[in-house]
Amino acid sequence: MIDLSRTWMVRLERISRLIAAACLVAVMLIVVTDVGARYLLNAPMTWSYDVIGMYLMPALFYLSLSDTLADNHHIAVDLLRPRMPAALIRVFELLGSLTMAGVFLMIAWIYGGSGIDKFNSGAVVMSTVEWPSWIPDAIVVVGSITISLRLLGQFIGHTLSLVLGRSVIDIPASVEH
Amino acid sequence: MVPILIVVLMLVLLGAGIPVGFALALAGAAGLLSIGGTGLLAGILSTTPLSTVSSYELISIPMFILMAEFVILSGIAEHLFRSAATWVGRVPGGLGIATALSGAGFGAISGSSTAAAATLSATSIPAMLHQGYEPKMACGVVAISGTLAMLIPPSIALILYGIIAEVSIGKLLIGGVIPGILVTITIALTVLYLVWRHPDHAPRGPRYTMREKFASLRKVWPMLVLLGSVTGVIYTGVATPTEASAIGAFGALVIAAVLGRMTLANFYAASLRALRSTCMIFMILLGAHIFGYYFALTGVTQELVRWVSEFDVPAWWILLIILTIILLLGCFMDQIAILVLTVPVVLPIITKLGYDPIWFGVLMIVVGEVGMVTPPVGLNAFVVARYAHRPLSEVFIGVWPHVVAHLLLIGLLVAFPILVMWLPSKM
Repeated sequence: MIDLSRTWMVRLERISRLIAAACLVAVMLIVVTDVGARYLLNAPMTWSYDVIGMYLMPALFYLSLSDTLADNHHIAVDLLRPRMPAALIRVFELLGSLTMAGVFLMIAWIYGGSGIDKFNSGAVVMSTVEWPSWIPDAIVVVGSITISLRLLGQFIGHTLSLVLGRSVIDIPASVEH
Repeated sequence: MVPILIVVLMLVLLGAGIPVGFALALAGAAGLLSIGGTGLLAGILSTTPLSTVSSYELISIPMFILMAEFVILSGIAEHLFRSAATWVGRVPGGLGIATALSGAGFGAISGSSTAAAATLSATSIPAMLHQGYEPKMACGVVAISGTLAMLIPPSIALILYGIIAEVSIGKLLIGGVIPGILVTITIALTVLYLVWRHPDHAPRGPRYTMREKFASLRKVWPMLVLLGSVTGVIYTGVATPTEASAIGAFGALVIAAVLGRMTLANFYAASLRALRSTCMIFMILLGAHIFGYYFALTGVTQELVRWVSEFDVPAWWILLIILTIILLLGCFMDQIAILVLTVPVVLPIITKLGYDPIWFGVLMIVVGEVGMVTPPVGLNAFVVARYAHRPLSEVFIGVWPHVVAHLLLIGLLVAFPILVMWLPSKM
């Protein structure tokens, strides 16, 4: 059961980070094309600012959140950890994972509600183009739910490790060490 | 009393190794719950998670990180070091000076200090050890030279400061140029001093003809192209710093492709590394915003400013205390975490005292450079030790003379703000 959910989590994160990486590269290409078009053709891409700010930036952050956590890339200060017993580290990890999952689920709940309202009412952001405003909310929801699942998995893993007395999930090593 | 408990909670979470962004978000959320219940927390969470990252100006962070990844792939840094070694390798401590010069050159095309330290470790430490350099000296000069990327534009740390402090990023980046050059000179002078004291610690390198020296410059052209495409366009106003970051990333991509280093697998791996680093920084920004709301609503910052401004001491005394605190924090915390934690609190005090926020930003980064190489959490020292396979203690001992020299330079920048402000004033 644990292995199966781990496999699905990894698959979900793989797809998610692929889309996020595509957004990152798209930002670079759009800005370079925009600057080139502005100076060489005197034809700036008026939509670039909105697409990057409203859609691509939230997507590259929220869709890479869980993968970055799984890769242990979120930087930690790790001052006391080398002197802490493994069980205490697990207690901090499970409490941190559970409370952070709570924060992200709350974010998903709030943005889910507002996204559905915006979708139903056909709300748009008025600019050079009428941009649907539910899309950024949907991105936040997808990213927040994905990282919540990862955090809840960590919570269960550390709890089981403490209860069973064997390592079900590794203690994350510090980014700095 | 509650604000103190919230700060203690944040410090405990940080100390226990909870990721910085998460620790800030959790402490901030706990604080907001304590003063306004779930209604207030839900109110903040209904806007902050999206508004923090929905900014066009923020793209300079992922773009400069992406540029650094492509630069590493291209192998430009190796050519930079070889060219510098050809020119100055013969003088006493020549390879150490070459390391400082290539650190400055790498800093001019990359804003990541750890990327610079890793690259320099891989290129210059083996060369120095091969030539008979004392390992502590070799590791020390590489660790400190890597920090130049934090200061010389494009600097991710300066951009982050600009975003938090809401000051001109263009002026900040240009303001880092002269201090960056001064830091490079300081590192070179420290190397010369160390070699004068212990000539056997840094044997001279082979002699090169002028033809060979000029020939080595031919491989440095990609760096000049990137330098022109980033710093040049910002200074001349052709593009904003935000746009320049994307142009720089694209330029680095093209150069890596032209030099035959870019495969699809490399491209994806570099993009992924840049993505994860960006995500890490944005998560810290998100956590800091949530925490910042709590501080703003409780009025802690204003109280602190009022309290400090009532001190009957000269302004420079308070500046000295603030810089010392930042220096000490740098010994324990990551530079990004220090920026997001201290700037919102410290900057109102600094501006109230009459100091320029651009000058203070650059000064803060120079102070932060010291923290990058001092124990126990000197990130660059860790990177050098890991990449060069040398003991950590060796790196810390080797970098110590540079720390002393750096502190003297900080004194100079405090005494003569014009060193920072001259170029921005010409924009």
